[in-house]
Amino acid sequence: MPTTRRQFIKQSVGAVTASMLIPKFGFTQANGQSIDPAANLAHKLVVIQFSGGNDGLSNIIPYSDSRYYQLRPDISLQPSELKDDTGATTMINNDLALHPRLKEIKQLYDAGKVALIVGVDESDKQSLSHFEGTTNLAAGGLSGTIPNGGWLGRYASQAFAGQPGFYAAGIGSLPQMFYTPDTSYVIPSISSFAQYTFQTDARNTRDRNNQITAFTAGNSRSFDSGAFIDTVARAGAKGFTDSITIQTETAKYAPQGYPNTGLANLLKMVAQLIVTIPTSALFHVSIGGFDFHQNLVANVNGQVNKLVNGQAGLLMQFSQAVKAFYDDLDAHGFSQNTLIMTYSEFGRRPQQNGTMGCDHGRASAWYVIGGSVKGGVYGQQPSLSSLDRNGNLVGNVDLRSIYATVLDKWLNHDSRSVLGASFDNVGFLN
Amino acid sequence: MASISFDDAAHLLRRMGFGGSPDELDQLAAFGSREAAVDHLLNYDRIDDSALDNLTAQKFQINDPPLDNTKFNPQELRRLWFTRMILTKRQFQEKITLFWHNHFATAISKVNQEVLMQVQNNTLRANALARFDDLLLKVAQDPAMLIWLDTLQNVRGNTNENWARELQELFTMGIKDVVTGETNYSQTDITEIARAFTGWNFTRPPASDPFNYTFRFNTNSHDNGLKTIYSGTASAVTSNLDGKDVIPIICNRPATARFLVKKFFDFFVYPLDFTTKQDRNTADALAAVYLSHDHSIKEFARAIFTSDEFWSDRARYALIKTPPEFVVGPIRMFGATYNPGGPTAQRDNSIFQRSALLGMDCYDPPDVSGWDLNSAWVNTASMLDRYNVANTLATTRTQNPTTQQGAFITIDQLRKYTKASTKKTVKGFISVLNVSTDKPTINSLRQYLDADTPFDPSTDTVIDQKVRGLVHLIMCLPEFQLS
Repeated sequence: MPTTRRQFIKQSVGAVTASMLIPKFGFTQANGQSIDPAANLAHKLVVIQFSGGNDGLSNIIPYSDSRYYQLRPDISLQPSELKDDTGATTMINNDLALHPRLKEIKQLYDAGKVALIVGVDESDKQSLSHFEGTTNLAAGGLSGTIPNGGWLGRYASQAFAGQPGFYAAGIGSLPQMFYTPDTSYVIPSISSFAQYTFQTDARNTRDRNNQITAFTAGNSRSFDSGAFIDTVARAGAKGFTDSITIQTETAKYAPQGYPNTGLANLLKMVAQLIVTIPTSALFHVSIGGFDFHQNLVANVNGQVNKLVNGQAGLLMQFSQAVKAFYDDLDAHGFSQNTLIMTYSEFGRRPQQNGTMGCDHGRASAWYVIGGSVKGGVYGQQPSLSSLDRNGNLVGNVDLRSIYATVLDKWLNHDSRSVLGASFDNVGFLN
Repeated sequence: MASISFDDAAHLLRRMGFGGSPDELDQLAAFGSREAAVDHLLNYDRIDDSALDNLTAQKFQINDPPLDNTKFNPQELRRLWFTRMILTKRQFQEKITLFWHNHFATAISKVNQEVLMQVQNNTLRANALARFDDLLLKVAQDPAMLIWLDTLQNVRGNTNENWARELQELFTMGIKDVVTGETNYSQTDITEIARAFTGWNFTRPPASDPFNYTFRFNTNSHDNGLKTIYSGTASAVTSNLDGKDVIPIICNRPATARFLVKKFFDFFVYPLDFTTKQDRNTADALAAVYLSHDHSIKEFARAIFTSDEFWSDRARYALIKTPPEFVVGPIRMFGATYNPGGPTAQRDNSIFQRSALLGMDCYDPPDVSGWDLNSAWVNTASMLDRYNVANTLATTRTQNPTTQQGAFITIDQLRKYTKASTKKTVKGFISVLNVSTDKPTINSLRQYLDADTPFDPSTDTVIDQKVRGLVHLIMCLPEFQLS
């Protein structure tokens, strides 16, 4: 049964009451059931968005299928090219291989830490719009709007509302997935620790406390729930409160050994928060640029180069950043209780277009990575022979079943209270 | 004719512009009616803006051929536009150019040539109030857009659907009719319209005339075959369509008219709720103005800004300020003391950087859908950033604002609105900054002025310390985040 807004508000009040009784980590689930807070908080989730429509066929390559080479004469990878820069093969079985630039992901896969989910699809009715697709995925439904927030915003509201402390953050931006169903719980967004602070007149520092007193009075007033003024006041008050924690705690650990890329810098911030703030539980980061209508495979000085820029460049950035992050967590004892999952709003058309790229399509590939993952391939590789009427892949894994698996099996949270219905367990977690 | 109060003038100028000083608001109210004030702002080509033109001619060198990256670069592109926003007397011209930049969102990160971004900005400004068909055709043929949505690669036999898709989804109709919810077009329409726009290209100008790009139609790469679009609808056509034929068909669809109402309301009035009959009626009524006035954006805008909806209580403070409004607004409200620096040294890059920090890096939107508005500007980081940008504006001092580049609130401006009593001082500054708040908040601001030692504004030292703090605190109020 979907959680209605009215029910939710009632339940939040209940959660506040519970928090008064159990001062530190305990809390009550939205439906009043008590859940094991240690199990919940111990399990951390880091979500990586591949923005722009990630071409599944460039991630997990069906090298045994002759149709793949027919549809993509210029941008496919030959079996001889399916090896990393050390010469190690990136094939994972007799039919599928990882992209040669996913070297570190392949190493984690071989160690049993990676679930590759192929054929992840939304619906045959989807418009293949970036914007509608992103919203639908965020909502965790097919409505095209998110009146009740994003699926992780709903989860976080149910799990954390009324609890003082720092649990979740969008790092770099606040994704729609983290939109909360009402303003009673705000998920922070952090782009820079240095700037996550409230500044006052540097020439009049002894006035700082007076300014903070007046600032707090102005931003702690009650406004109509859901009104814009309520949204800004609550975000401002939450930002100010967390800024003190963030400034104090993140100064205690500076991660090393990450590549200097956009995604690695974001994951480095996540690691810094996980290591220094024990309540840290839920994060989202984003890597963009997957909308390769052209140059999915790069042209370098007039030569096709399948290993630089384009899809290869982004996958290499992903692979290296995740490896650095995983190793950092592992060194601090967090690799077993941190789950990384990726998503993208849709896939791309199997037939290449005229500009060394692919237009919007369906059925992408998602990754779930972590020390507790049951490694392997999940879902069926979509057929390249029976495409839909627009020439797109037809998937077989409902993306909501991945959400449900993460909620039920990792976050120990009844997925029905977040998704409004039951979905199959994909099986990548014990 | 409806009369216009000082508060009405403030509302109008926040929406049709970035806000104004008390003197400017008095002048706007002196037009005597809402209709006359709107007409004045709308007919901006009659407003003398030569002071700005003279200043930009002195402070920028973008027109000096040959092109020189030290004279014109991505920073200069932005410095120029924000200088215009702060100092123009034609406020609506810059505001609607900003609206169209968000609507036809094009990013320098892909176009990669600042000259082309300036060409597009000039095109948007010059055609901002034209017929929508004419503006859309100019945009479709704009070199930055031809690059941005891959039209250059869209050739006969090898179509690229990027432009054809976004033309319909983001620039004109939306996937579904915003009012009726009906699907506006199919994947087939995208494919067919992509064929119609094959062969569109541009010619680069000589170095002596660097901004004078011209559109070029490559007959050889155009698909001249029959295309069928909008089959089964009132707009159905089968013909050997070119892009130029497609544009008027789309612009004449009622779905386009209603989509434009939604876009204008989200940016200029209040977010519409199409689940209510009232808002569906509003959309239909204004869509009818667009359709019956030959798609004139100017008449469409006039109807919106003179509508009962625009002047209703619901519209007051109903939008969350965009970053340029937050950054430029208070400078203008204090009377626009701004020296952009330049042309070669001491350029002031601080203003556009503040807007970028708050989430709107002009010329570099996150994607082709532009920047999401209103609550999308709000998260904990962006709120802290707003408070810190406010602190910077309130507490950056200058000895000489005419020679020092940057935006300042001078001690003279602070003295002007500072009164002996804390009550009058607080009320004076919240009025200047267009804030309306409750009594407890006014009291907490008065207590701030009186904290530690009773407020005594007879010395500039006290004004410089406490009144700057007051300005910062007012800009941190939830009310100030709203327009």
